[in-house]
Amino acid sequence: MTVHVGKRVPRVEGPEKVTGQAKYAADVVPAGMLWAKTLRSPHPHARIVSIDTARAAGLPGVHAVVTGRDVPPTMVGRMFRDLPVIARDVVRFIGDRVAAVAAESPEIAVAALDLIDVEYEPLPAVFDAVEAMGSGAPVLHPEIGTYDYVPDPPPQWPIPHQIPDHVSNAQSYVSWRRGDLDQGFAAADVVVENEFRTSPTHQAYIEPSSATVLIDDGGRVHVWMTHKNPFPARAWLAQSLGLPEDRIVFEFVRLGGDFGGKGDLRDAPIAYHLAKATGRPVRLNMDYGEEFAAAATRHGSVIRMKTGVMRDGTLVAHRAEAIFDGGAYAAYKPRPEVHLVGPRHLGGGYRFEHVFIDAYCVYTNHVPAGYMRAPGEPQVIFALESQMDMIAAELGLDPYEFRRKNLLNDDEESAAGHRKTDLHFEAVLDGAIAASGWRDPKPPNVGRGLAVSNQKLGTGFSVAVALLLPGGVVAIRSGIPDAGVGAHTMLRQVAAETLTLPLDAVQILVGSTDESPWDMGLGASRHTYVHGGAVVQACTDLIGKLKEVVAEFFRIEVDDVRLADGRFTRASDGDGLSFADLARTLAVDGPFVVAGQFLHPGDEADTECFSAQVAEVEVDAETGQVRLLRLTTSNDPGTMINPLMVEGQVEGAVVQGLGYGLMEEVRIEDGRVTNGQFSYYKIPTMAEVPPLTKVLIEDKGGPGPFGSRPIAEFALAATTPAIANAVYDAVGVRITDTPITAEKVWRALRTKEKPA
Amino acid sequence: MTDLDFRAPTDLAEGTALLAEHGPDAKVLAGGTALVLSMKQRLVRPRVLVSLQRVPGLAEVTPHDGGLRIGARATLRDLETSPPIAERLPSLRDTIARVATVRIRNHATIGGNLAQGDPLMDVPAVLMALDATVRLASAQGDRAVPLALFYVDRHTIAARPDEIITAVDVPAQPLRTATAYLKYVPRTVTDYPTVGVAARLTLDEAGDRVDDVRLALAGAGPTTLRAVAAEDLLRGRRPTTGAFAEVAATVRDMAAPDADFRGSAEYKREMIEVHVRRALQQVYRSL
Amino acid sequence: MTTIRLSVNGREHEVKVAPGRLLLDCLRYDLGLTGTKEGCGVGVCGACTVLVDGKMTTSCLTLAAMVDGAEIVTIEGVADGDELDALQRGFVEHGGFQCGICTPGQILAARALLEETPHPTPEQVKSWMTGNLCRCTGYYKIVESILAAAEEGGRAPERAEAERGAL
Repeated sequence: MTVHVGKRVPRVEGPEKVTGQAKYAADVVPAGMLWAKTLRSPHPHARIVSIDTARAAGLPGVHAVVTGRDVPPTMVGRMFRDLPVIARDVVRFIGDRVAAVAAESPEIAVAALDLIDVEYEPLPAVFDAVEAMGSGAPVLHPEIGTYDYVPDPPPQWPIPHQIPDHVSNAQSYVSWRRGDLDQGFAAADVVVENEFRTSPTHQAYIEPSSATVLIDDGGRVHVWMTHKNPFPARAWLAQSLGLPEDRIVFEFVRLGGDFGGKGDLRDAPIAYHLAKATGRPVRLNMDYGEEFAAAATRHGSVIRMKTGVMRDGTLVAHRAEAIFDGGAYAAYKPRPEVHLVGPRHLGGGYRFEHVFIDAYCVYTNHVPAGYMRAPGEPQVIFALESQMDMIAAELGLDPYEFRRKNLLNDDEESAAGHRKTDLHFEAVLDGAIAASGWRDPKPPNVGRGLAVSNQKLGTGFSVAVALLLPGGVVAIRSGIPDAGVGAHTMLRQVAAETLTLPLDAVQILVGSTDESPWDMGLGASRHTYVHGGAVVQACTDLIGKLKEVVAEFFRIEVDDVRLADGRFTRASDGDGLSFADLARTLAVDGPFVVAGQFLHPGDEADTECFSAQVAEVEVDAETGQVRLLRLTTSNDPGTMINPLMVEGQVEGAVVQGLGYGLMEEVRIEDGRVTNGQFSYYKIPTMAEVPPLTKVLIEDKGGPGPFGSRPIAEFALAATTPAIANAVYDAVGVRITDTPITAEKVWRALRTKEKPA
Repeated sequence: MTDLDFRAPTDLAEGTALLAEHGPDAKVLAGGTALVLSMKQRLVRPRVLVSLQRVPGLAEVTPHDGGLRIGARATLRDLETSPPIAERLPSLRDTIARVATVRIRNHATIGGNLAQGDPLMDVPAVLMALDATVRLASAQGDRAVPLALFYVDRHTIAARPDEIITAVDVPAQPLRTATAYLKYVPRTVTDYPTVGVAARLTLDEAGDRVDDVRLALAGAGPTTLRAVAAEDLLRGRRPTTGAFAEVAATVRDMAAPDADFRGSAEYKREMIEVHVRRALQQVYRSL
Repeated sequence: MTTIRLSVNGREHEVKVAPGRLLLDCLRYDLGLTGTKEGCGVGVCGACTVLVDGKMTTSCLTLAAMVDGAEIVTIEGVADGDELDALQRGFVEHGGFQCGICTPGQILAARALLEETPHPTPEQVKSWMTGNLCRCTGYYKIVESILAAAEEGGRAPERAEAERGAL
């Protein structure tokens, strides 16, 4: 029995956040701070012929103007450095930064932008990823061979030098191959071939990006930034500025939403150069229009699938090719292969004897694409799970029975070549079916759709430090930010459980990069799993050390010391010492420290998580409007450290999947984002959210602390195809591109009624 | 927003005098939801803001000539919760309750809403169907413009820059009349409409013929539109499903909606047809 | 520059502002009340919601000069000292936020709702709160938080105390 694990403990930072006391990046205003704005390119692709900043610099209240010529020619990127801090010679998308101004007020900074004269020579642009791959397309990064990787030398596994020769403008390429496709398709009774498209979307965190830089009298650089990986960001900033890392400190601030979008260096280098030029602290905020036009969208994609299947529903062969629109730069992708995680799921959790997967990220003159919650998966799972439904329909099989027949069992090899154990695919799937009323009768124009997804567990590296404080309190020092998942709360529960202490005897200490142990930051749903592991180990180390002290005190063997309810006792008579006694005995007047760290094995975990969604929709056959009546989500979070937080992640992910499915789309026409405000780019409001049934399969055997499994991203991807499949079930039309707008449904209905 | 003068006159004459003095450099400020946003986005750069916040008598709903006079500075939320509006003009109340969000309705005024000249606005459409008239004041005197003549072109209204919208008069509605506004928002309820259709139907005493009809459309062209030709088609006829469908098709053919991210022009035309038909059926059923 | 008088969370202020100064910036940067957040900047997301004379207001679309003489409540004025109010407790206990950036606006919007409708139905909550976007929670726990606060706040404190005693 656990005491703290499994409890709905409210967030430790709760009171701070509901009283307005929590400090976010934009809430910090150093004395004397100047306001900066950037001038952005109006051209999708052009050479910068000249920039004249004299008029802007002369505007009263302007303190500095910088262009690409005024800053060192370093390139930045999370893994692949292809992004200039400010464009020097060439701009590659509408929104590329060409100059920046620091002024007394934001209004003056904006007014000064109008006074910067830039002469451009337009260059041919390419907006379509498939076209960009062709030999006739303009090459957007002719110097790609000279760009650097982080780390240098580049990682060995699939990187751009493996890109097929005939492909232009590729950022990266990954592939998996097994079996013999020709043989597979020849053996199949039925071959189903389809093409799917997904639109780019924005993370739509409510807090726009912000960076404030102050250079103190000692030359130390203080950064308050909307960033999810402060330590890596510090390293990238140091590299770009040519400064030693210890000269830079990322100060602790709360993060107003991330969803993958706040992992790059963004405006920090420019804010630094302006601070250096002016001798004043400088704030560079993006307004939300800039967020949509120039931040880091989820990749749009074109995905082709060809699948061979036997009459009885047995999958045989699968060919999947995904082309992701990477936009103007690859700098925002953090993985070694400079790609997305999603492509490995192009075959999902299904059994195929023959399978070929290829995926490309391609440069275009669009806003650069970056990471967004479950990077690559919503696109890939939309395609795959639509395809699976289309196959089931072709064969006249129930979509549930068809999937169940083909899902992987333990130790079977997946399309991407992984063998996993302890899979709960069937339990999760059956849970969704049972809870959703899958077989209940439906009125006309009402349909139900099912979709599933499997997810790898995030890997990563994290450090936690445990300190015994006077009075017997244990503090955990952590460098992991919390974008809202409740990480610090769950870490406290994990620590208290391990230490057998009450919650209020455990503190989680978070702070700046000066004060915290190194951490790789947020991502890959790895908070509880990886960082929780570090905390368990730190606490276990502390317990071990304290047991030695107790053993010595009682002159017994360490193995004869028991820890329960916060007391270390000797087995013989139950006499013992509490944490407070130990702090006193050791005369602790400062922290007594034990560091624990958890280095996740480089290879990924030997199990996977699974998610199944059922959407129930009603379609207005005259307008095509899709109304969600009900959603069911089934997941396997293992032991829930804190059900309140698990539910929060599931609910949030489902609603993001709903938005992706029904309304979200960054519209780009001739390179220009045309709906780049929240007035036009719609995300679900409270009124669009349907009743949600949650099935949470607690198996207690997950690989995370106390048998937990990750959850944060997992309920998103399958929600979207579940909606597409429900629309098909309701009115018999198949929408193969996101979002599933009313007009698309209407058009498909009309085509169905009056075939051309 | 540098070099800006903020003036809050305490009576209407002072306000119109300020507008006369500053000409197009001055802008009338009421709730600010549209004007402040346009200023932030640097779409307009006024030198003088003439705020109506201290002008008395501009926010009341009063009986007038058998109908209601609605002060231009009344916020949409004031009207949504106003007993006389709920009682006398339920269709107006229902329409307002679907504009944007409660918080925006707390600021946005009915005068400001009419002044936008934005064809996607809901309230002008229903007010047009209700035969409303806009009252304007300037240093040169007061005048009234029927709403049906108020919209000249995209974002262009019949009021001059030196005029202040002071009120909207909604006349007494005929007997045996019902009005409804259908707002088609397939993405989120807070969105602007893809299309919006206001329909007012008046039956004859026997209840088996259409005595009069008004059809006003949002999102069907550069301005809020009255579908006069389609109205003519229905007058004097029996209110049948077939007649409604015929009228709806006529409206579809006259509509010239913009293509945008809410839909293609073709789709919007079709949605206008569907919603004209549905609006007529709904008001007929409610009679 | 013009001088305006504001009562913010019960404290009187005289502030010199430029005529174009937004109420949001005035609160955040002239008065240091950074609990009010800037999100979309176009009046849609509701992160900047404050109460002006009791009404929820979009501070990013309101000029400070427009609210000269008004009584303003920001998130900093909701708790009674260290004592959280029912809504704040509701949001903490029911997980009504994750990242917290929209939370000040959510709580003030909910406060305005409960002022007008002390016992809202879930549908009334949903229809009132559409002007406050949240990207983290999917809204389910925000609705729960508000309903829980309404239930608690709707009873006189003594009665709530007595009920607890009876249990």
